[in-house]
Amino acid sequence: MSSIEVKNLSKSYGSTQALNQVSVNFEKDKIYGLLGRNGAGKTTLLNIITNRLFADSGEVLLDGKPIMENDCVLSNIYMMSEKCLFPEKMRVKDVFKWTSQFYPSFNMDYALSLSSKFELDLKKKRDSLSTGYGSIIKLVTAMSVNVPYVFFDEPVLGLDANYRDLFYRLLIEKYSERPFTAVVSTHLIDEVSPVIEHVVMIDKGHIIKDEPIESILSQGYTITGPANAVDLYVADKDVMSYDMLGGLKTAYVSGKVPSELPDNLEVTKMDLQKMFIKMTNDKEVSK
Amino acid sequence: MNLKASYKYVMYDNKMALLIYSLIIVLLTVLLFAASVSWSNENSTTRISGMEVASIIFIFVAGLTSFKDNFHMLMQNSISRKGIFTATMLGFITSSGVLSTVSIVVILITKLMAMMQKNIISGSFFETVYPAHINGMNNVLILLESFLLYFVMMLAVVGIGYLIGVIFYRLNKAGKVALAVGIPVFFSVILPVVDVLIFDGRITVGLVRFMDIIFGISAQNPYVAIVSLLVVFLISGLLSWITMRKASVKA
Repeated sequence: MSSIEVKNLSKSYGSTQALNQVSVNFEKDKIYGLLGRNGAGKTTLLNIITNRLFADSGEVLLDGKPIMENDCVLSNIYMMSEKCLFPEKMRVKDVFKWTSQFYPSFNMDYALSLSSKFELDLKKKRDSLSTGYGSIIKLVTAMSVNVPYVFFDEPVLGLDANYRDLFYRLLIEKYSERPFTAVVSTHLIDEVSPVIEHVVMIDKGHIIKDEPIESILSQGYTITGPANAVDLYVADKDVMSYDMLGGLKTAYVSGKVPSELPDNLEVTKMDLQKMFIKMTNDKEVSK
Repeated sequence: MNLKASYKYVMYDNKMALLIYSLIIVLLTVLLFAASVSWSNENSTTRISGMEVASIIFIFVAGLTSFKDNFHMLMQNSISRKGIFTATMLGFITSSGVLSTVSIVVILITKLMAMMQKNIISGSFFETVYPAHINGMNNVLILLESFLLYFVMMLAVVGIGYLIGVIFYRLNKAGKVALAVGIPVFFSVILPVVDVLIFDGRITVGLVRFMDIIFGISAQNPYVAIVSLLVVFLISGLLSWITMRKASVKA
């Protein structure tokens, strides 16, 4: 099966170990969430996968072929990076034009239609775009290249709620029409969780979770009800955190969903963000 | 390797600058001629020469500034470093060819002016440096050899400019300052002072002798210069490749 295989990648910057023996697979036609705290190693991992950075050790393969400096293999990959690499004085329409030269499968009509949806001015120069539109030009380009593997590093940086929502909807729409592998690296876990199928969590340069989202969410549950009833119920359980709203208390609990519950308590699915906070705060788990 | 697209992109970046420069230099030459005609009298002569130097400076700056933007845009489009390097070198060869042609056109214009106006003297860099070599030589051959010399000269200069640009990109902030300040200070202050105080001018003499040899001036052989400059281009290209082959996209 086609996949990008990351094998034992290590990378350090001086005394800081950004990645430590990282191994992970990105399979064909799946939407991945690459989640991690600031400085966890997400961008370093993506930069190495896309040949922008060299690892100290380890390798990245696409269908068994090394990616590093391999133009043929690299043509199957596109990365929307946090830093904009398009020339400052280049107009939006020229960015599309030149991307289509490098990626013959680039869909210009789709790019123009997305630009219209995001109200992106095609005549504007890159350096005159706001932070939000700086992200939008990168997003529209990445969504239009039509290659098997697209990496999005902080794709919604600077975007307002409406445009963030539009991006997630377009990503699902695009994926449904023409499946591809999308790896979305973000801090906005609540927003991205309905979109992703598989979660890769990274913490301090280690992969701490590499599982389908359903499997992760089944490792915990949420209990809501009157505060005293919740406290009584969770007394002997592993609680990640609590929320209070008026007299109602919510507890995020690790473990299997219980088969029996007191009448005044309600059980719902675990929240991915709570799970993430728990896992990345807990040093025992992260190692 | 997506070489065609990479080359097209590198040339797109240079095309407009080359076009504007060529127009300016040709217009400037014609303007100089017009000024010389209107101000000259029978007792004075005007010498128009060395316009090629402007092209050399232009291509040096082009080489110096071409790395970062091209590297970023081509890396964004998943081109390998060897692809970027190859496309850039092909771009330099094309630009050097264009600028050498422009230089020859400028020489022809000044020669035409000299024919029309007797008190205007036209002299190219090639004719000035190799007077004995061109003595009695066919004009077409002079132009051909001039073109060849300018072509490799531009290649060597753009190669050095590019190498400095690549080194500059790879250095950290302190390194950049050291390079930007260090090179001019070394050549304009340290070297002359050391030469005068310690070596009694022998460094300058040695450098002049070295330049004389590699440009074949005393030997009046431009082919020595052509080979030397080609070697400079190859060495600077090799060093650029060594410096950039592990370059990362800076955040």
